[in-house]
Amino acid sequence: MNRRKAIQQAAYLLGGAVSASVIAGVMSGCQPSGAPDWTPQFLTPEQAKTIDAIAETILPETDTLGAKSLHLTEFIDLMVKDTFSGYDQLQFPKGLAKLEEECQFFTGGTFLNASPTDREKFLVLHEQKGLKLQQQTGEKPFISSIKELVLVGYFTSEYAINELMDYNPLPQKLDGCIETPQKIQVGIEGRSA
Amino acid sequence: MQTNNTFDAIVVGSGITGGWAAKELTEKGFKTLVLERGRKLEHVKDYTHANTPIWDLPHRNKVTDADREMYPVQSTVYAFNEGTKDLWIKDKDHPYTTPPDQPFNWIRGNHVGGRSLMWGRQVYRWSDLDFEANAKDGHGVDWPIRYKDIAPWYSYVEKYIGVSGQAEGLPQLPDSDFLPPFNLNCAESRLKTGVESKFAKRKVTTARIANLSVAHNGRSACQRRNLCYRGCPYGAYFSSQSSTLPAAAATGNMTLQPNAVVESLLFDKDKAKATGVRVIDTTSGKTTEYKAKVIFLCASTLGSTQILLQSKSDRFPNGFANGSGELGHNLMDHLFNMLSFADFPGDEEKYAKGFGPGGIYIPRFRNVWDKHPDFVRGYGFQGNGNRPGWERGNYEPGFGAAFKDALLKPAPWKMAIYGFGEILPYHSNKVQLNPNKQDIYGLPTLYIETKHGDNENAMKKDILATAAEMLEAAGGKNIYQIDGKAPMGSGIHEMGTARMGHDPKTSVLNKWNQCHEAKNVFVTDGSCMTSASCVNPSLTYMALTARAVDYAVKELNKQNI
Repeated sequence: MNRRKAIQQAAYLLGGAVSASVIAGVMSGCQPSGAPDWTPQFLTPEQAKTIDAIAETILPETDTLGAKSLHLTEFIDLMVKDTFSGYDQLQFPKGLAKLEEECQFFTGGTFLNASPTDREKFLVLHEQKGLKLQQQTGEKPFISSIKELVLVGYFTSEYAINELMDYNPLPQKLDGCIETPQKIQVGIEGRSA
Repeated sequence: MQTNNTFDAIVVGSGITGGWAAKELTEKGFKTLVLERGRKLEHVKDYTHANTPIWDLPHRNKVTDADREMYPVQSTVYAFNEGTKDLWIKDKDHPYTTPPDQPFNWIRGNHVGGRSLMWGRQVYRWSDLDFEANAKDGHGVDWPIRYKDIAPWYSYVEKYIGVSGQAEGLPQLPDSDFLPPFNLNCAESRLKTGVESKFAKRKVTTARIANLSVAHNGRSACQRRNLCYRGCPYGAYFSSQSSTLPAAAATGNMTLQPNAVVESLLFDKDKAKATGVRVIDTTSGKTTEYKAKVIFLCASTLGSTQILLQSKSDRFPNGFANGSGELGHNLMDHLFNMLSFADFPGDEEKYAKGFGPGGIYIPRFRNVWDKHPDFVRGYGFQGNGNRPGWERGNYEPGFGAAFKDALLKPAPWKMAIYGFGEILPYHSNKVQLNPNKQDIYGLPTLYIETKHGDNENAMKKDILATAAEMLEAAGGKNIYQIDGKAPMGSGIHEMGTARMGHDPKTSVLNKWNQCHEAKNVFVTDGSCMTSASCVNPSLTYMALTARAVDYAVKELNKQNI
């Protein structure tokens, strides 16, 4: 039985009253595991908490799941460890420290201590600043790296592809000019076009 | 006859030309040994990730740092990712060298089928504009063939492999024997209308592609997944695995031997013929000699040339059949990574569903009817239009609930076109053996020296200029261009190094892809190319291979070889 079926059946048995986090547990796929004993490989436990909060600010839980429910910090930790170059790994804690420094300035406290509204407001300013600096230095801002990992982790998850998008693994035909549908399609590789 | 390691024919390589040589030779009744330096890789069964959804790839298809270390060159390819990486050669195990300021990207597979599994699949006929180019502008030597010599062989190959495309009747880009074309999407149709109405002699057509728009020759139609680079379980694009090797196997005449590195050709001075090949079994390290009446070198441009350079003897002190001194010289590729992007507003109510394998093609329009003041030869464009989905979040600012919702809606249309330009045959662009650096089998590796000339640099400027004017003419906004400064080799269209020509003093091969100096050795991969054209070359290699086998068999029957 595939996970999607499992969820549908679980939802049926529970009268449809399945909470977002229950769905996340079933939908966690091959990974991230969401295991309670998960310990980060690259991040410190403190950094992981902050990243968790940043990720949830980027893609918060609404009527659909958010970053936290999909355990994206686990994914981010894996990606920084495995796909970042040595240089980019060195920049990571520096970028996070810089973000905290600015957060202190804007909100008067740490990112974790800020309210969800202030977190989002702050990230908007932080991103603007980073993008401006990028035009001068060419260096990708820390927040853009985090954002990319959050987006990839979220939108290529089994949950997002099956529940939020039109998963189209075997199109068989190409309709080049149809009416715009409600949901974007994605294929096996997770790309929409 | 195949006792005592003796066969009628030996084919070195099992990629796009090796597969064709194997099919043609075995179908003509020749007991044929096919030697492949890479591992065994079976159709469908060994396409590990052909159906793996992205969420089951631990790094969601991204390249890891460990991969970049193992595959420093291969990992630069657009088609290299977590789902395809097993199909590319481990650079660390197969080194080559270049001058520090002349990087060359040598992109390779290391398995049965070679790069026919990971190729771009776009196929275009050459025209006399290409075959006469060297004679007319004086670069390189004259091609010993013209379009009429190869046209029937294009047709022969196309009918077998299946080429989807639209007939246009263009003199500079002759039509193939087509299957129906893949559809253009709305944005691509608008590009076509815009460009063709503004520029009388420019054309936007569908990519001509060796994917089957409809079932063909017992192979399934393309499922529009755009997942070709992982290997196609439907056999819906042409590869050695899906097409030529099964045909060769069905004759009962093929012996396919993977893990077999050809060290050198064996030569009989008195008969002025090759007698066979010496092969290293990469699993045991043992060396074995195989004999045959005729040998087809189809080991890829640099692979075949490396074997020829290694095959030294009293008669050929500078490499096999290299009396001309041209062996290893005139290495070419295509100008690549000349990218132009535009927002393409309009058709907001329209969407494309399914994933096409091709997109659009803009055939060459420079130096066809007129003469450009700054450069000779020309270029074409591949491209496509699309409406990005969530991916646009990577380049759009924003956070939070509204951002999340917006990323689940289709973005406005975008258009991208990529130039492919002709590189001239320069004697100074060359490969040599590097005796100071050996590979894991103790064989000398290649030292590759390549540079663009003034003609290439002038052409690159024009590629970006005309791309911008065409995108703009069709309604494109916010045009964004990149000269990716791709090292030579990045086009994965390496050609030359054992060129064809009329004269044994200035070329390695004659008009039949036959060594001037060893009549039973044929070289039919990209190394034979006398010039590069600006269109993808594989169709021409295939046609030349089928033509050369036909000739070789006739000559053998007449006992001329």
